[in-house]
Amino acid sequence: MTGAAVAITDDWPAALLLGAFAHATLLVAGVVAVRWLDGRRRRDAGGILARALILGPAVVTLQELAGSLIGLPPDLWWVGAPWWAAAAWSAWSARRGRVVARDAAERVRGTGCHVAACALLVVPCAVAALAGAAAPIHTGDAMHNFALPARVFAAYGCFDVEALRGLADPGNVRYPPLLACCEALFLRADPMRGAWTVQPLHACALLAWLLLALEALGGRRLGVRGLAAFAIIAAVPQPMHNAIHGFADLRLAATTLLLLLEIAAFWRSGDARLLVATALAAAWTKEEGVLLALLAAACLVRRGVGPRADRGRVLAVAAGIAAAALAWPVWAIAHDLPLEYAGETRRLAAANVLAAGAQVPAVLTALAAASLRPDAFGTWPHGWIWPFAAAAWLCTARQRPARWLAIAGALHAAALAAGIALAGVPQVPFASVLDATADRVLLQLLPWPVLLLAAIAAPPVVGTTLAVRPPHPGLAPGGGATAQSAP
Amino acid sequence: MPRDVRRRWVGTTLLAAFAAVQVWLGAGSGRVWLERVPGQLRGFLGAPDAAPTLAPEVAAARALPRFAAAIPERSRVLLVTSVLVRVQYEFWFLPRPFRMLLHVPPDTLDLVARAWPEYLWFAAHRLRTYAARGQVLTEERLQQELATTEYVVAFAGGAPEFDSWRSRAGAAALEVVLACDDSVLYRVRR
Repeated sequence: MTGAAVAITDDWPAALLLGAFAHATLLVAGVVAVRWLDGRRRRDAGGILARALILGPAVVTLQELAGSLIGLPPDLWWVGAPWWAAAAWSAWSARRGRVVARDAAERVRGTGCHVAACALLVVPCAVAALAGAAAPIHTGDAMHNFALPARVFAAYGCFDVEALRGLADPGNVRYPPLLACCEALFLRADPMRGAWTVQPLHACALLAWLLLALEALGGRRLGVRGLAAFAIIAAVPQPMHNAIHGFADLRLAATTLLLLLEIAAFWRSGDARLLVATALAAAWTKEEGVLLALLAAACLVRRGVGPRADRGRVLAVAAGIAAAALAWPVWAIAHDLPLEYAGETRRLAAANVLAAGAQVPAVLTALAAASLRPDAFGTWPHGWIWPFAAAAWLCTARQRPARWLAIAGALHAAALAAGIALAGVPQVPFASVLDATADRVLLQLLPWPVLLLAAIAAPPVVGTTLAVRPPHPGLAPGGGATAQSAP
Repeated sequence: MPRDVRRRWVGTTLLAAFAAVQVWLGAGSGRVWLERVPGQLRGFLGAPDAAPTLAPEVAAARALPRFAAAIPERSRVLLVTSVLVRVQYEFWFLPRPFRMLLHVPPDTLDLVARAWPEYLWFAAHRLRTYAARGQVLTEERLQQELATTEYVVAFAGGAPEFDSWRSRAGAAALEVVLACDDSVLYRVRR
């Protein structure tokens, strides 16, 4: 019987156009937000695009959540209208004011390295976009964690607590809202085909990840060493697999890398606006991102404690980040939203963390085994990048930035392991849980080896951003004007 | 050629060769992904009954959007399937009022204990949850649900008793609306 086949296969052109418009809206929102948050700072197109791909979904999430409070459903038209209007106004203003032409000294001529880097950038993203879009959202974390809450948000116009609690199989509706809010745009625009048209969102995360890695390695001033390091990074299998499967780990890894770059920029310039936005994007992407947002708040406090700093303002902004980061988990717990591994597991969580401490050898073995294990197609081992990162660390171990990178990366790994133990499955041996999730843990830790490789491939970038003391402590909204963000 | 220039050329060549080798090897993974694309598209978009054996999630993504398109927005939907298949069926039917009844084979926990012993506790936890929420399929519960529901989806033949029970449904008679692979959409006639 084929009568209802029309439900899927008819009207594809309209559905694809709507999907493209929704993706463009997220991107335009990101560009507008980055332009606004950047102030007078100059940035190249790659830097703007990478930040827009990360921050666009975050600002749209904020807009949708605010809209849902006053009863506005996530309709593409009202969500998109302000961003498109702002972009049009910005373009009109730029046309009238004619931005000052760049100095000749700032122009960098394209080289063979840039062409090769573009190929390394475009090919994985194209593969991820094609392979990801060949299937709708239908299973796994992509369904349990974001698509189901997204459907509730699209159907009811808000995260209706009763609807979330009443789901026949609630999945993990406590998940942070960023991807659910973005997917709700697509599902609201086309309830059936939205599950297909939303898929390139994850290829966009891969593009942001690679663009940010490229920026860390020198960006427009990419050299041969930077290109070789970029080839290593682009060949790591997890990001592309993650983009195709539609998990949130890749988006969080890209957000983490952006957060680290923005912490460095903030340390240099004192302008915290992009750092704040990135911290909130991290906290709303995945539970682990809350930790990163709190790290950003701590950086603000540390940087703001000085004789000339406006301490009250710094502390207020830091407290705002912490509050916004914790708002979702607190809301979910307060409303007693269902948790996948609920019940007895919560009582055992603390004991599990202690037990995990006693299982360090097993944990290390599981991580090493996961590193050596080939990817799904047997082409690359998951831990492909780590020997290079270790070599980079050995080469730069005496330098302060590299030492700090290694220490911070190790702390991040420990925090992730503790988080898995806390939120994971106490009844299952910790090493087994880690074995099942190791490739994603390794993916979340990838920003650190990227920065370690950058310490060798593009020493001025990491060296100047992390080692130089800031000239003007405290928050300075206009202070970014003289900072050169893209190396 | 001066020594430093020669060293730079050698270094550059080695690095470029290294990058090229990686690209060549890494292309393997991308090629495998791309080779799967036509098959995936056929699997998800092919005509009903064209795909004989499907993963349950794929079967759901094929059948349930077709069924949902045939159900009015306010109608109550009941889905009957097996507990051994875990799919987020409700994703395709919201905002329609939705209920799910699961056929639980008596040897479910034995099966899990043999196949995934580490997750036996989780299976037991899920079964307790389903039982507490009244989602385990029994003849009485099916009759109760049929009294209030307007559409019934029998997903992927997951409940062997369903056919015999529905024939004893009394006042509620089920009329076939659509079929896709081995899933069927019924309308409850009163």
